[in-house]
Amino acid sequence: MIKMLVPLGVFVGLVVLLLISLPTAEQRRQVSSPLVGREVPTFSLPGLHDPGVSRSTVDFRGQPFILNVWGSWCFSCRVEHPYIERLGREAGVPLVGFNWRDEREDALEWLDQFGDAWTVHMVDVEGRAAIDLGVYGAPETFLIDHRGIIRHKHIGPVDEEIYADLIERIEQMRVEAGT
Amino acid sequence: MSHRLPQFARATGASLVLAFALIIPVWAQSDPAPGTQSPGQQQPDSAASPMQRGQMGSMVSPIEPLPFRSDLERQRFKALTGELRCTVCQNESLSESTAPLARDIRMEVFSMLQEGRSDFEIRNFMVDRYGDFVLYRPPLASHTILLWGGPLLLLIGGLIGALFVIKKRRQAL
Repeated sequence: MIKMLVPLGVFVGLVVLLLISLPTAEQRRQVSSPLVGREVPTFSLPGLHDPGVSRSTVDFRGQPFILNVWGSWCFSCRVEHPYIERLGREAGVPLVGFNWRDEREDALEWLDQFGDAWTVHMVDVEGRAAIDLGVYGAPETFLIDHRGIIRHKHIGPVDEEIYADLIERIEQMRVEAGT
Repeated sequence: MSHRLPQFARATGASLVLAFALIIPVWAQSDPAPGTQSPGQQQPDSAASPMQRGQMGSMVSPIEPLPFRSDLERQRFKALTGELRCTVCQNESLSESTAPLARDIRMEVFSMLQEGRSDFEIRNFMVDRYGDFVLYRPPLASHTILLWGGPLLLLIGGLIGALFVIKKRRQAL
């Protein structure tokens, strides 16, 4: 009789084990970027409106800034765009657009249509700088502090809740920077 | 005795299968990056850009021919891209994927090989940017002890169980 209970015990034990491991899968997603807490990689890229001008990530040193990865081919970027516009208006720090693997004409047309919320753009046509940033999908939003340390990375579109979280983190970074 | 044992084994096996059948649909829902998109990825709602259309053509031959300097270099490239995960795909290695990001990273791996960097350096380069997630073979660390030691534990458990059963059957004879 006891022997017949063993399969049931194995079954219950397995279900409990698997259910316990579900939340940790959620946590693994949260810490998905090993770059958080490290210095933003240094790279120079041309602008979008001004392809002749080259900007480096070092140029923003001294104040916090937001780096937002987008592309005209990216549908979720349209979804998050109202919040990106709000970030541009209300965050009080530079909002740098990282135009990833896009065609210049498409990107400019997209900005005409949806509005250019960004302070300035950096254009990565070949995607090499994106690899250094550990980008694997657009949109992605990085928060970088005045010392050039990546403090936070959000993967996926920004919504109301994420927006509030980002603003709170930016406030904190501004306090630290003393701006 | 001889009749009860297979039935017991069948019941245990059936409960294992049932447990997995129950839990797998829940697991399958976890998506590493909800809402993100990689360049060239098909999206029904968005108008395809010229770039996307252009890339459809390259789908025919996913892996571009590369000018390797030696067979050894070719083999190292094959091995490296085979054990690095394409981060935007569902369970594809870099060597198999047609995603533009995977192609970018393949080119990066190739140029690092040309620069004479070691396999270790190239793997580290990827882990520094994308985390342990890119490695199909997870590193031996405190949080992966169970993963690496698990099969050995199961083997030992099975052997002990088998010895126990054999002993019991011998006594019954």
